[in-house]
Amino acid sequence: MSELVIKDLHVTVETDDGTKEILRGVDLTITSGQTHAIMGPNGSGKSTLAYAVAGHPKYTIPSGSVTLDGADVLDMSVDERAKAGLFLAMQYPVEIPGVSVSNFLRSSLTALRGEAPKLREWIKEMNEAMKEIGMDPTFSERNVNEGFSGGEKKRHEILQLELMKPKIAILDETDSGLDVDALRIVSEGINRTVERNNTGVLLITHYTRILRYVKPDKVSVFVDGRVVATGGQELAEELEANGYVKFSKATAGA
Amino acid sequence: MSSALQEKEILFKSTDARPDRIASSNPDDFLVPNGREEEWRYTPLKRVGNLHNDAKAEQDINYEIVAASGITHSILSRDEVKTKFLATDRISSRTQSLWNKALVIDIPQELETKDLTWIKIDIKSGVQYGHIIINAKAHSKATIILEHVGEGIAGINCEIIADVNSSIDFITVYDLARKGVIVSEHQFVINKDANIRSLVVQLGGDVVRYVPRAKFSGNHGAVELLGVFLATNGQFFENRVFVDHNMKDCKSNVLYRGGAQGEGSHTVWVGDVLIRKIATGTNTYEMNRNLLLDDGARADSVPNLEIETGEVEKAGHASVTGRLDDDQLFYLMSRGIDEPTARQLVIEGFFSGIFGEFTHPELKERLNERLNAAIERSHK
Ligand SMILES: Nc1ncnc2c1ncn2[C@@H]1O[C@H](COP(=O)(O)OP(=O)(O)OP(=O)(O)O)[C@@H](O)[C@H]1O
Ligand SMILES: [Mg+2]
Repeated sequence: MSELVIKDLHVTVETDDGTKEILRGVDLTITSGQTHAIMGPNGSGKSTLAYAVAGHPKYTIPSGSVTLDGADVLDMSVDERAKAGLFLAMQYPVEIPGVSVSNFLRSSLTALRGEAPKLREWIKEMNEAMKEIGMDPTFSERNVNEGFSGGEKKRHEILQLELMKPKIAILDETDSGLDVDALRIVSEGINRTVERNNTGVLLITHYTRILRYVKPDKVSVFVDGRVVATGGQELAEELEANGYVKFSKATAGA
Repeated sequence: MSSALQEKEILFKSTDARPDRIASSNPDDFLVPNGREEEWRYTPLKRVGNLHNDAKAEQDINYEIVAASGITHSILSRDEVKTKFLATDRISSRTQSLWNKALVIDIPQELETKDLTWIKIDIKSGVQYGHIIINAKAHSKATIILEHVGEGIAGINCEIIADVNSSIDFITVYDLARKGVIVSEHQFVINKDANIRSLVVQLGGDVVRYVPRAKFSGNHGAVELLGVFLATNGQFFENRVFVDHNMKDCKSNVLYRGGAQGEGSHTVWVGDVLIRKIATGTNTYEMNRNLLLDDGARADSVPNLEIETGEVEKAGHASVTGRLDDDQLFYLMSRGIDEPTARQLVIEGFFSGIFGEFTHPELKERLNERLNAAIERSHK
């Protein structure tokens, strides 16, 4: 049983006009085997939350805490966070010229498992995982994300999720840009991971359509750098019908 | 003085020098550079052991050769060597006038070999000058590797002459010890239907200045000038490429990829391609890509294309200098990969494929080993 606890998290970035506060006191807990959906308008700080928890150097954390089973995540380097069991599927995965998918995945699993997977077993493992997520085996020889379509990049993120078996995964708009079939396949991948590895998932999304496949245990509304409401699936339906207006007002009045 | 001037004027018309440059075997035709000349503006002349001024030879170059069967080689003194080599700068012409022993390699007519020919030069401490001539006779095919190691100071020039329909792969490696210095001018002459693929690799040494110059002696020739360099810990590596399209329907391809890391590390790439009026049907492309691995390093990149004819098949040039990307490192590290390994992956990725055309397994392995060792040094 694992638990990622985010408490009163404040995050700033340096801009040309000085320091800008993006997260303004986020409280969230993500638990093994549970899926927690987060919905919020563009620019509300959802990706910032994901990056800050994963440790992107661009963000500064003036106050607040993030712990994974009691260990201080903010004190860890980016790779240590991954080794501790955190995973981030990125909204915009980065291209890495000249580094093949298979070399990348093998380097990653070698680091996470503490030893290099045996070559033959590794190839089998990778091919099976690629098949499950509907990626052609030829992708293993292509450079990481280079020339991948939007949907292919998202599948590649979920492929990594399945291979890396994290304790806690943050999925940042993994459903954006997917066609109907890809959405189903990617959702199945997420469900498999939760089932097989008891992963806890923070699912950032704009649409309820993924929530038809990946059933959230909780839904939170994220506005203007903080969580403003939390409920069940019915909250997602309401957001889709009425938008965020009500919640934006609530923050403005608070 | 006046006789030297006259000689220069004659050379203008009769040689392969750029219209605005001279070519001569007499060092007195070149002023001692002070570092303000266009030609020398980047080179740290204080660190070249006076090669540009008056450094005397303290010993001869020692050439070690392992030749593929059928390829002959000999070490000859000045009066035994016939050469038309005309140097185009002060150090190169001093080298030309000061060497005592030249290495001459002959690839006989119609000899075709896949086996490698290795020339290894260990530059001993002190100053030395050398000259190498590689004669590829008609219809021959071979691969020559010229490796430089050692900690001394050297001026070494090289002529690579590819006769009709020959095909030569020529790889030059500079992997000197940290204080080693070498300045070289390599001249490639490509005859009708001949083809030279050359690669230069600069990884070790304090100062490496490399001036490859290619010209054609028949139509339908092709030359590739590829390069890889990685300067770390204050190293200086310079490449001044010149391709002279002086014949019809010839092809040239100049691709250099370089990296620089650390305070004072500095790389220079100057690529000049000249398409003369007579050179119709020319196809040329030149490109330099640099990766700066931190804020202390510097890369200068100057592509230059001069076209004197309207009937060119294709002519292009490009230069891109970028920085190691935080987002790439973050992506890799967020998958558990530690920072040194992540940097290594990104740098290897940047250089990947540059050895691609040189498929001989032993060669490829040796080059990759050297490059990876240099990348590893860059983490320290
Ligand atoms: N480096 C930065 N400099 C300036 N502003 C930034 C920087 N990074 C993020 N921001 C700003 O912070 C806010 C939150 O951005 P973030 O990407 O976290 O939003 P989001 O909720 O993920 O939006 P979307 O739904 O569009 O993905 C935005 O207004 C964004 O412009
Ligand atoms: Mg976002």
